[in-house]
Parts: sequence; structure tokens; C-alpha cells
Amino acid sequence: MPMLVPAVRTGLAAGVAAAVPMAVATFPFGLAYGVGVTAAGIDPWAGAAASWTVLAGAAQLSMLSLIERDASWVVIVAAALVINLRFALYSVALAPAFRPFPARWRVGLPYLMTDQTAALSMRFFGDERDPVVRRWFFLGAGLGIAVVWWVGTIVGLTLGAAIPSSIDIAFTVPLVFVVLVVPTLVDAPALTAAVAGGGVALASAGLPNGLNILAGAAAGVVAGAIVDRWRPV
Amino acid sequence: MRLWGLFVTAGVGTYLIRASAILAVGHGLVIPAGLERTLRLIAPAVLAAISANGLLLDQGAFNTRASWYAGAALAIWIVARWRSASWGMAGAMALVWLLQQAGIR
Repeated sequence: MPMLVPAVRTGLAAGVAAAVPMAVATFPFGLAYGVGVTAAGIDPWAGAAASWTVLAGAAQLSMLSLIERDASWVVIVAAALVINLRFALYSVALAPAFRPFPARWRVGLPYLMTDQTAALSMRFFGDERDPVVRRWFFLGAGLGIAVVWWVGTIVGLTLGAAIPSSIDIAFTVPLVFVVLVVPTLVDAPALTAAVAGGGVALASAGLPNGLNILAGAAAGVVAGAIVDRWRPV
Repeated sequence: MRLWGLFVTAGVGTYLIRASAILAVGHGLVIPAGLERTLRLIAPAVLAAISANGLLLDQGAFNTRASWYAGAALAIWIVARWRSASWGMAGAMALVWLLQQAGIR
């Protein structure tokens, strides 16, 4: 067991160090979510709990948005899960590195998977082969980012009531999605998926219970896949 | 109580998505390349649908708040130019505040 200590220390320190710059973006996002909970007027404890149970900003904000629109329970959960389907991609990409981990690590670590943790780990795993260092890196980075997210949520909830009415809090919710979608527009299929997704969501705005978002998402994925298939390689 | 149920259900579902391939590949499953390419389109499609819904619509009608459009445009420019979500949000919020202080809704 003492032989593992340097590897544990190396992985954990590298993970936490990698998470620090990510906090610059994670904290205000958590803050925006906390403020959004206050603005939505829902039970703040339940809203804060979502940062522990879901731990995914985009999905949590979409749930808030749909709760405000009185969407049905099924639509709210389905929208959150559709948004979080991108984690399946990270899961696929990280699976080979996770394979040598003990079963309890393979079961526990995915809870901490976020966009930032997955991206940092994929980069780190390219240079680091030791599974002990790898898993402690993921734990350090994942926990570091999660803690910042939780703190941001609490601060946002606390400050929410104190923020002057001259600041348009309601704008923070669509704004977060705008800043999240821009980095995903990396090629023609992704751009097509976004344009079609947004366009169909608007065109089907009359659908009840926020179903226009699911309609837009489905149309966007189909349109993007068609362009991906047709474009020259 | 309904809210707690919502957030716990979404949390359990999200965990299962996160763990899906990691646990399945641990048992020898191989993901088809075509499906992997399609999965990466989910993020832009969903995020754009939510963005359009939240930004352009207000109670089912078109949103007429010009300050929001200006703020969103600035955020897009900042994020595209400097890859910083934080600065994009800060700049957009500042611009919306300034415009609204100037009487532009």
C-alpha cells in the first residue's frame, strides 16, 4: 500500500491543479444557476440539491426553465436527460482508460463526470499510463470542479435575493445556453444541428409542455447527421 | 416534493448515462463509430433549441427585448473570439444592464 502513495499524490495533485483554471468558468455558471433558482421562485433547498444529484449546469438550467413554464414532469426529466446524453460520448471515450480500474472506482467516478473533467482527463490520459495516477487525477479534477459548482450554487442562492432589481436576472438563463452552444459549433454538421434545432424549436413553439425543445433537438440531430453523411471526406 | 422527485430522477438518469459505456465496456461492449459521430451532434442541437426558446420567445410570442439580443450577440462574439464563457457572460450582463439603464428594454 505505501508503494501507491506517490502515485496517489501525483494523480490527485495534478487533477486538482488542472481543475483550478476551470473554476474561473465554473463558479459564475454555478452562481447563475443559484440566481436562477431564486428567480424561478422554487424551493431553494430542492434547487440546490439538483447541483448534488444532477451535477450538470445545462440540464439543471433547462429544468428550471421548463419548471417556470409549467411543463410536465416527464418533459422536464426527458429534456434534462437528452441534454446530458453528451455524457455518453465522454463515457465511450474514457471507457478504455477506466477498464483497469477496480470496480468500485468504475462505479463511483462517473458521478463526477462533467464537460470539464472529461476534457481534462482525456488530455491527461494521453500522456499518463498508470491507472492509479489516472483514477486519482479524475477524482481530483472531478471533485475540484464539483466543489466549485456547489459553492457557486450556494453563493448564487444567497446573493439572489440581494441582487438589485436593476440587474436582469432572467437574462442569465438563456445567456448560459448561448455561451455553451458557441464552442460546440466546430464544423458544418454541428452548425446544421444547431440551426435546425433552434429553428424547429421556434417553429413548434405552440407545442405544450416544452415539447418544442425536444422537437428541435431531434430535428437538429437528424439534420446534422444528414449533412455529416453527405459532406465530402 | 415534486421538485425533489424531479431532481433525484434526473440525477439517477444522468448518472446512468455517465456510467453507461464505462460499465458496459468493462464487460466487452464495442460502440459503433457511426453512433459515436451522431452522439456528438446532440450538444449543439439541444443547446441551440434551448437558447432559441429562452432568448427569442416570451410566453409563446416573440421576445421584443432588444437589450437581450444585443447582450447575446456580444456573448457569442466574446466566446467565439476568446473561448471564455465567463467573460462572455460578464460582458453580456454588463451590456444588458447599460442598455436597460439607458431605457432600452
